[in-house]
Amino acid sequence: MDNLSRREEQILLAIGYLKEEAYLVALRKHLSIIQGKEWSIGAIHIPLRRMEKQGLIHSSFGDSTAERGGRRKKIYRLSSSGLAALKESKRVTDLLWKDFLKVTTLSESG
Amino acid sequence: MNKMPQTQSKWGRKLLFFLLPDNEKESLIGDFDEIFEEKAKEKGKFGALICYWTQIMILIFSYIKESIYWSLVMIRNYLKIAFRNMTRHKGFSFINISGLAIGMLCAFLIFFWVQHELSYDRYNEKGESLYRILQHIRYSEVVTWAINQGPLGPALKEEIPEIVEQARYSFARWRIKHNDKVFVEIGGYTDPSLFKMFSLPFIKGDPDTALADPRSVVMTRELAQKIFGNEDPLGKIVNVADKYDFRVSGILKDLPDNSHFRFEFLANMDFGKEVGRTVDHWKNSHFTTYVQLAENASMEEVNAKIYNFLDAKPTLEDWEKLSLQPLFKIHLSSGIGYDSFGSGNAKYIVIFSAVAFFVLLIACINFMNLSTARSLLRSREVGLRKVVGAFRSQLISQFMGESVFHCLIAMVMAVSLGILLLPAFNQLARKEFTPGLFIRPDVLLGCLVIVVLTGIIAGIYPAFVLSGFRPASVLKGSGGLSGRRSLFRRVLVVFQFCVSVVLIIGSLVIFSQVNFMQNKDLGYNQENLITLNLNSFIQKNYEAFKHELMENPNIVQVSRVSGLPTYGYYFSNSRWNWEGKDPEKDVLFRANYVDYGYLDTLGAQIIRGRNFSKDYGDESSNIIINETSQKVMGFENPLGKRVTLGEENEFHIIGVVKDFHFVSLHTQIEPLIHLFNPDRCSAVVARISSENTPQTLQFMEGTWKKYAGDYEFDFRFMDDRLDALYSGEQRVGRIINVFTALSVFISCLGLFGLASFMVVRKTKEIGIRKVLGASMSGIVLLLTKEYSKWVIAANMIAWPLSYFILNQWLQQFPYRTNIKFWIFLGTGLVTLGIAVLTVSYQSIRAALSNPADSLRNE
Repeated sequence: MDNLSRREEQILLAIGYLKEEAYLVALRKHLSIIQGKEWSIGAIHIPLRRMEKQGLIHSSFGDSTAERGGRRKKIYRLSSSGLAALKESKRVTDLLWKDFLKVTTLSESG
Repeated sequence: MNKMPQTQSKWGRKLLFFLLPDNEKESLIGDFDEIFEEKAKEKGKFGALICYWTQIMILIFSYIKESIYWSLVMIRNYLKIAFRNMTRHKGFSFINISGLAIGMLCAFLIFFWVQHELSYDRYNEKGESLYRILQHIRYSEVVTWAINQGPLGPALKEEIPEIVEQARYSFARWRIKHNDKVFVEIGGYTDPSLFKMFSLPFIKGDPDTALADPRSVVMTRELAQKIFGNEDPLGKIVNVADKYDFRVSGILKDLPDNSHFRFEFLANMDFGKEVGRTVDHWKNSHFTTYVQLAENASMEEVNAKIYNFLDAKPTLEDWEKLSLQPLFKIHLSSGIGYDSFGSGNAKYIVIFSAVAFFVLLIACINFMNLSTARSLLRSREVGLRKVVGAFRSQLISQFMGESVFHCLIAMVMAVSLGILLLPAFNQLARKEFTPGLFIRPDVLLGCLVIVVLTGIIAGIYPAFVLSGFRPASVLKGSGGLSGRRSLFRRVLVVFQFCVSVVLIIGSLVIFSQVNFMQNKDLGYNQENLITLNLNSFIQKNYEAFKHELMENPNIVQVSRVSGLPTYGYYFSNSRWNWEGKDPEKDVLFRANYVDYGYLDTLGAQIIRGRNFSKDYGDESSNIIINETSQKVMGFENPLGKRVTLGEENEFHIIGVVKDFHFVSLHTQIEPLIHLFNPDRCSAVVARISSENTPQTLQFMEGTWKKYAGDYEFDFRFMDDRLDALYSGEQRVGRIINVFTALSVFISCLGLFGLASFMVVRKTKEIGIRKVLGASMSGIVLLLTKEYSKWVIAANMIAWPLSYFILNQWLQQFPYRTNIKFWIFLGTGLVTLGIAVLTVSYQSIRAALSNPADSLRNE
């Protein structure tokens, strides 16, 4: 399997965190708050589409609510392969960090 | 609850709905709405809207990037191949793309023009419910006028419940004086309700009270600027016609250039009454009447109600009917009398749209033809792609994509050319277009549609043909260049030339009709005739003025008249009666008040009886009729016959004048009666000799200054006035000429491209022929013959077609030129000549080439 891109990884993590509330608007808000800069809709929607195609996430429709003009939300959740991909990504990242921190202290600049 | 997402983002939502895949529509649009609503609370409506659209744009862009990313490798290859092909055949690509660009340019310009013509009066907010009242009167035939009786508007408003508002308008020409500066301007007398009905925004002043006082005037910003410069015009006093003082009570925003109104100032109806507009009685028609219908009223119902409205009113004629004309139709209506705002012509919209369509079509066909021809050279590439595993769909999209890409380049060229040529086009079409037009959303969308459509249509044929090749046979070298395909191309060439021929013949016939109208014998001598508007000063001392003028030997004759030819202030009415008149039949006569010597000055010929003359004492009960009147009245010998006008006025015919065209050649000569009444004249005509014209004019101006107070010496030559009558046709003729030239040019480009392609393909054949001893002329003939045949065929189809179309067009002119055969023959020869020249350039080059060069690589 291809490695997850950084953006894909972040979105998957957000989906895992938000659980039943993981639809586009909430994801966007969550990611924007954590990162401190606004994500565009396209920046989330396109990876979501791609990952759904690849089977990393599944989606289902939620109930319709009045505030969205009766339109249903598309709720995403992680699939098993999505979870596996996250784990794999974390494993690699952790290892890399560990090695990195062995030789570098973060407070130093340059 | 905040309702904004429902209303404000309608278009965005539509766009999303259109763009998104089905399974994403619902949720994503919902997401957008939710975010929008949140933003609206935070930043307000406008900020949210901007944010919404930015998000949509980013989304679209991301989609594109996404799809490109995954097929980037292939696309890069396609682009590389496209560029290589373009640069390998530089000339060919240039011809192909520039031809299309020119076609698109034509379509653009005409589109702007047509759209502007169709946009007239659309800016009026209440436009949908506004109508103009038309009056239909039966004389010998039914005529339609845009003017009505003064009391009509108020009566309609009172008696017809559906009519909620009305405003009358009457044309006025004012001489405005301010601080010794004099301005002659056109405007109108109107009801204050005009401001309520039409969107005429005030910059200064109050629409409700601006015209309350009969001595107040409302001006456009432009006129106010002209008169007062940078001073505040409100409340200033201007002097009108040396008699009345008016207070400026309001400043209007300048009229948009797509308004059918043409006025610089508006004054109250009550003042109109003072200067002779008959507001109160039903005998006279002076006013254009506009009405506003209630929102739920239907035009048909109101039409039915007002049709017989005048029957119960004491009008002049027995048969007068009314109908509504929607505001939006006013500009393009024609054939309506007393339409004081000169109008466009719906026919020209159709003609121009057709021309634009065909020029674009020619360009597209060209593009298609050349693309097909060239793509056949690429059969090997296709074969190889197939061998390494390309799907047919991939090949199709490659070729389509390539042709869309070419179209895109053409579009960029067309837009840049358009921006460059816009000033010239403005001059040609008398419009004021700005380059900003090109970035209007609808134009951009139109561009996109044209690019994609042309690209796909042009690409579709080569794409499917090429992708269907069998790789084995293509790679073996027997490439599928079969005869059937070139037949298809030839049919397209024929069609292309057919359209060009129709356009050439069309512009020639229009030109000859205009020429015909300008050169037709009008029945009088229009050269060296000078016309001047009469004013009260000259009228007072006319005899002295005339006497002084006549002392100059170069001034042959001077006289006065009420209605000059071209200058249609004729008094029209059908109450003329004579012995033996058919009581059932009303005939509309035109009447003209003249002074001694008017007909002589004009150079019209008296064929019976005599002219008005001082030798016969009082002439006021004598008339001179024209031939048409004589025919209508049915007199064998009209001299001395008694003719009455209404009950009280009695006249005797003393002469008959040969028919002359006293209005434009767009209408038949009507019955005309000359009455002797110098006091009602409104113009001076003078015949001068053709020598020393500048000195004569100088002399006249000097004399004029002595008598005319501070009225300007505003003379015009009669032939200039006549030319102005046909400026509409002339302008159309000129525009059509330009587009015809372009279409012929594009066709020739296409032919040139095809011929060069053919020559390239036949290089070996020519080489072999030369080796076997063919002469150069033989080879040129061989190559030229082929295309000449098709051009001749195109002519054969185009001749009857254009004859039919132009005959239809000419029917609108009562005096029309014959469509001459030499026009057809000439066009045929010219197109053939151009085609032969284009092709033979290529074929001579081929015939001159050394056969050793073309044959050695085998």
